[in-house]
Amino acid sequence: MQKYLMDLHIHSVLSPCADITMTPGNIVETAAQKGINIISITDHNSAKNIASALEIAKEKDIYLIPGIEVQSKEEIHLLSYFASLDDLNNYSNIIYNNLPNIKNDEEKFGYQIVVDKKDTFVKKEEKLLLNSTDLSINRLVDLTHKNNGICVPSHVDRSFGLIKNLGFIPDNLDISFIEMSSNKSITHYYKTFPYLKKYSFLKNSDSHYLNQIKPTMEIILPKNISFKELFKYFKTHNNSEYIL
Amino acid sequence: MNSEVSYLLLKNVVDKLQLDLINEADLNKEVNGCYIGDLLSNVMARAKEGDLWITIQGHQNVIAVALLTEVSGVIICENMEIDENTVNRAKEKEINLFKSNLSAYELVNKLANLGV
Repeated sequence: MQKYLMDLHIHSVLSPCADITMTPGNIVETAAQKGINIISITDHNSAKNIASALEIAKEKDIYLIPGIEVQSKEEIHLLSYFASLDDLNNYSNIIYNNLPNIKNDEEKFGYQIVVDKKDTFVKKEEKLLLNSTDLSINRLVDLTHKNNGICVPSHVDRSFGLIKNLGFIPDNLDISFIEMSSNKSITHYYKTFPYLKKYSFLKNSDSHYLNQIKPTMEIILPKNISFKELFKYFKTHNNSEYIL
Repeated sequence: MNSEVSYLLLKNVVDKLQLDLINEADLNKEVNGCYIGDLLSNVMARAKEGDLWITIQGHQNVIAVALLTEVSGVIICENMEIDENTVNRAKEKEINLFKSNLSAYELVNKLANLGV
């Protein structure tokens, strides 16, 4: 068995709000330096850097879970994690097509950069990614499940969080995971919102700068576990106990 | 001297503001204030009983928050989309639910003129 350290919410240079140094190569390198074994790059409403990131992570023996962070029509952020790049791309294509056609203003919002597997510039994403799709949270959860993924509302009590925007978690939302804010403890959540006990918590860095990347969870799994097994384990276990 | 206290009822407001009725529960409720907000966590903490709540949020949680805060009714403004579940819940929980193509600002102007 082996201890694996994780951080599953990191933004790359494709997210306009992320620092220009957040290339997949730099993210993977930083994670490796900090002893993190499992990461996920989750850009806003797009997954165009994940194919390159997967190649880069593979070279460094880092597990990269294909992911994305989508903004619903209720202005709520939802992370989705997938077992394969194909599943992620199926989902992210729907997301992209449901984003309003507004051009990014780099001066105001920042650069949206797509890189290749050598971590070099390929193109700029023209459509502004910092926007709401016209899909509801229920629809996004449903679409994630249809593509065999896991849907996790981001930082539920912060800006763009499910509890912040909608007051509480709707009873008809088919989720089993939620992401906590990284500066709070699980005890705080159980005290403030006792009904959250039925959910499995994830804690992530939500990094926009390299120095924010850090191990936030640890799990004990067999050595050299396959990605498929890892994802299956992650999907079926309550992860609250792994929070650092 | 005849000191008559006048109450503003929801049915008068509906009429004056030309609101579309999405769910009519009890239009004889008294309107004694107004609250505007789209972040439901904040509305839960701040809206008062009898307020007429104006929001652009069409999610079903609006109905639960309306129940909790005991507002007299909810106006979804700017013609924002209202989820089907929201309408169903409003019927189920007997919450007055309205729609308007006006903005919150325009609605509040009219409410102020009515003395709210």
